[in-house]
Amino acid sequence: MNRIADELIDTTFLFLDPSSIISCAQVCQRFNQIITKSSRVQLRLHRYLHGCAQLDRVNGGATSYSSTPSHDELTNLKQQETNFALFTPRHGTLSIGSDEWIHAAYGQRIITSRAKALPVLDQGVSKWVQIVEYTEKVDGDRKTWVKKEHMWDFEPLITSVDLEGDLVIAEEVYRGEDRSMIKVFSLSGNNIPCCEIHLQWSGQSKNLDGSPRYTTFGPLTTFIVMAPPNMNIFSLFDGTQLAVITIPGGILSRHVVQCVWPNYIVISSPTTWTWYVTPPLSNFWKTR
Amino acid sequence: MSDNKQKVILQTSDDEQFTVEKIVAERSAMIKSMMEDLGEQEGQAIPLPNVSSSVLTKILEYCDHHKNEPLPAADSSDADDSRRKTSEIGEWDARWIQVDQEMLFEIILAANYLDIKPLLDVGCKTVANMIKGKTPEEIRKLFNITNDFTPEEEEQIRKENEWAEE
Repeated sequence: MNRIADELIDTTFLFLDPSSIISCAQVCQRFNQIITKSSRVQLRLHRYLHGCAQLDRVNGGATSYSSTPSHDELTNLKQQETNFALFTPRHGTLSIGSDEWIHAAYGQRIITSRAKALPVLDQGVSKWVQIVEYTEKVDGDRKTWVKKEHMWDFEPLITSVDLEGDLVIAEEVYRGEDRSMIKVFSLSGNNIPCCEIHLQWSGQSKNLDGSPRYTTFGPLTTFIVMAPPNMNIFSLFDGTQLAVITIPGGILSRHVVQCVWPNYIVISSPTTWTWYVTPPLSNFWKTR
Repeated sequence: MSDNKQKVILQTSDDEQFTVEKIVAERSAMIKSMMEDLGEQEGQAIPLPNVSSSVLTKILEYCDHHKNEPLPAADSSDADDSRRKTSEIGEWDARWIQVDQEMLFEIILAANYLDIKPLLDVGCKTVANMIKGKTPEEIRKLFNITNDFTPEEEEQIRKENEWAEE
């Protein structure tokens, strides 16, 4: 076992059921570290605790799904999604474009969502997110889907599916001279903001004319959020670099913060404010 | 000579040479790309310094059995998704991988080195199936692992994981 690289052990753990993963975490320091560090395994545990979700990217009208799935389609989706043993993300990270629907199932709930951009007369483009939630209702032998619709009229900074199939929407709630605050909503968490991200940049990332170089953060389009109890993991890609941030308090987690952003990222969890000056990625991997 | 009957020579860490059908050797993405690099140089052996002849013999059995299956697309995330779908192992594969633990780990290491993704999965799934349902102590025994937690750490970990034990 000593000769097998951590990465291969991590892959092995992915084939385990959650309670076996927990057992492995108690075997020895090395196994514990691998499980603690592995976002893939952590996310799997998260799924176990919070129900599992899978998403289907559906083009509005262009595929076999209509924009409103039928009763059978919903039931079908639910059956496919609720078996944890079969859970596997069908997609890598993706962002939905205008008028594309994403379907997700969380236990008894199925959520479909689309972001839409509509040209509005004299006012440019109006952007919004439409979320339709279907809840299965059992009445004797009869099963029906109850439909609830929400419209979010903000312009989502991103609407994305993370690697484990969760649907994530981020809204930039504040943009200042040198900082930006982003609220992230995970749709498996009842649309409650699961975290806030405060991005702060210094003079270094200004454009030649002195204006804030927001483009640094633009490629946030594929960022990933997942929140096991008390823990949030983010991966932020800016095209060349990746950051994974774990907010303290995780059950299997150690306190880990890393980032390779030009300057630093400030993170707050809903209950605590914690400031980090993040070390470069290379140092991070070395200190692990 | 038809194209798929072409042979390639593989040389193991213990200097044994294996003459193998190209289509069999190509199961290994690593050998495949090496063959492409070497071009059509007749009779040139491909060195595999990390694989012993006993392990290669075993792995070639696997490659031969699966030689007519489509190769997994390189770096395709779709392929990656589907192969993670289940921890089930095919019938032939399951019988083939009934080996001792030492050999199992050798197979996993070689599959990783030779970049044979489906085989790596079979190996990892086999180890996962051995672990399933066992207590931490049983897992230690299985793989001859020493418990290197201090009593305090053990208590801490037990507490952290209480939520998972209904």
